[in-house]
Amino acid sequence: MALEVKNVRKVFSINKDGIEVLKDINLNIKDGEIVSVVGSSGCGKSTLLKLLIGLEDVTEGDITINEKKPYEIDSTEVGMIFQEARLFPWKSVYKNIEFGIARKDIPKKEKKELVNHYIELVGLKGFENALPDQLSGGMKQRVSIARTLINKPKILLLDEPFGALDAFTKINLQNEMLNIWEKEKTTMIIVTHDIDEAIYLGHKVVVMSPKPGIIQKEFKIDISRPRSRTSDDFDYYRKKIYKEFFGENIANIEYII
Amino acid sequence: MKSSNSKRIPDNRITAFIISIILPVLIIALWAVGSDNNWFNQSIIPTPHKINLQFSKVIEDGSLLKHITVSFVRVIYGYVIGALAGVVLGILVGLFSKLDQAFILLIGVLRPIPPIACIPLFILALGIGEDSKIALIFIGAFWPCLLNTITGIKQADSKLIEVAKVLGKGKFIILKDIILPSALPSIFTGLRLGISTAWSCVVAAEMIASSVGVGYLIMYAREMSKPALLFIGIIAIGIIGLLIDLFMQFLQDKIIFWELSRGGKNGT
Ligand SMILES: Nc1ncnc2c1ncn2[C@@H]1O[C@H](COP(=O)(O)OP(=O)(O)OP(=O)(O)O)[C@@H](O)[C@H]1O
Ligand SMILES: [Mg+2]
Repeated sequence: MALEVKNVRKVFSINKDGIEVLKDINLNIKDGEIVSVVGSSGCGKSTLLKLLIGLEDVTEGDITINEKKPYEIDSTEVGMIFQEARLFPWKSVYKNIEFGIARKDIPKKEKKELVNHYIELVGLKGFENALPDQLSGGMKQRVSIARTLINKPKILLLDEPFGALDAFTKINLQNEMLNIWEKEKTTMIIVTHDIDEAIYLGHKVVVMSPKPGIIQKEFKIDISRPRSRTSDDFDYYRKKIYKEFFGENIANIEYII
Repeated sequence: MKSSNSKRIPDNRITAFIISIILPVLIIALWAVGSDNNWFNQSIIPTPHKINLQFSKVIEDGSLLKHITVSFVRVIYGYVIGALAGVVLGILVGLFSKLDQAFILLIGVLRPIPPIACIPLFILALGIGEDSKIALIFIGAFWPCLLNTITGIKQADSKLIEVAKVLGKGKFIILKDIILPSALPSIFTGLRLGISTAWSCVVAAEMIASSVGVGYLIMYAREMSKPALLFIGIIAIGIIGLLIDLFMQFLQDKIIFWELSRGGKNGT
């Protein structure tokens, strides 16, 4: 599903005078494209995703997802994975994932097969009855991913999904997301603080800057998949994006990386 | 590692139990020694032996059980209605901010009034029979349930509600699967506070106007100058209060099972 963001502006009214969180946002995302969004804290990345999924309304401008407005889109079609796993502490792994099913007309037996399939997909077989507080951080995020994927959404919005995880778990889950993309060609928008992650996953990296949140630059990432983080191509984009953030005359980029 | 760990838990429990009975045993021992040496005025503080005799008597003639049962039934009546009213109203007030605004002043003014201050009014309005006592217990149970339910409902995590909205879930599902479970720990705090106030209220009501019940038993013992009976009444109130709270704690651990897996929280 294609996604179009046109001249979007978002103002939150905290006191009488509102604060402009997003300004002049224009984005064109093609069907099956993975777009990474990077930007400093508070520049409106989460707000952008909330606008896309209809949790917030735009102040000005238009968002269209296959000719429809965000609030008209069926929740089986667009899914969102949050930074925190946001699991229900009173529901078992099984019940948490089952809760993700947005379709209402699904027969019991099919439901059960579906839930079990996704439990297996995220490698949590044997943990069906565990409660969220009995899981590690990485396992929790897997449950949360399964809960979203169970609808096979055509568009997947990810808000710093792996931010709280250690490097190993993170890389594993990134590869799992790419596997899913290979199979389903899901359109993905992934917000991240991690420039390597942005380059590794995205067909496109969008750099935002704050106050008000605008799109500073878009980079098309021309590296064939599977990508290697240690390749020269990768390093080329890494340097370009770091320069975009920290300016041309930064003393030693290698050092920061 | 694992086996020594799992072994330590029951050990800890036994130690905790032993530590917890040290003080009561000491007090009783001191009491017995003091009584033998005439440290206390026996017309106020009877000897443990006298209490024992009195205890067998009231058990045998069934009068203690009768008083306890009457008080208990009153508590159950008033508590069930009061807690139900408190929780239901609390859910509504917690959910709808307009209702919250409508009730905020009323609740603010009425809440600080101790239920016991209402006894004269209730007697005037409802007579000295069962109704005035149940009304008092109702009030005693109602407030903690109401206030804690409101808090619990308002505390529901907006991030979890967002998850449900993104999944296209309706209002009823959000209430049933998110708001109510998040509020349950707080509601339970209210229920536990409520039953202990209800239990205090019944004793107070019976002391003022009654011819049966544990509160009455205490007043009767004073009038008849039977300190042993008076002590039995007081201790019975304490023990029943403890049993009720243990039962509520047991229920809480069963119903709010997910709090147990967080470890630590051992109830209060
Ligand atoms: N509901 C709201 N009401 C008022 N202001 C808000 C609201 N949500 C977000 N904001 C403000 O909008 C700005 C952008 O917030 P947002 O959460 O989109 O940032 P972000 O780019 O996702 O930051 P981070 O990387 O730290 O997650 C912040 O200044 C925040 O205070
Ligand atoms: Mg954010």
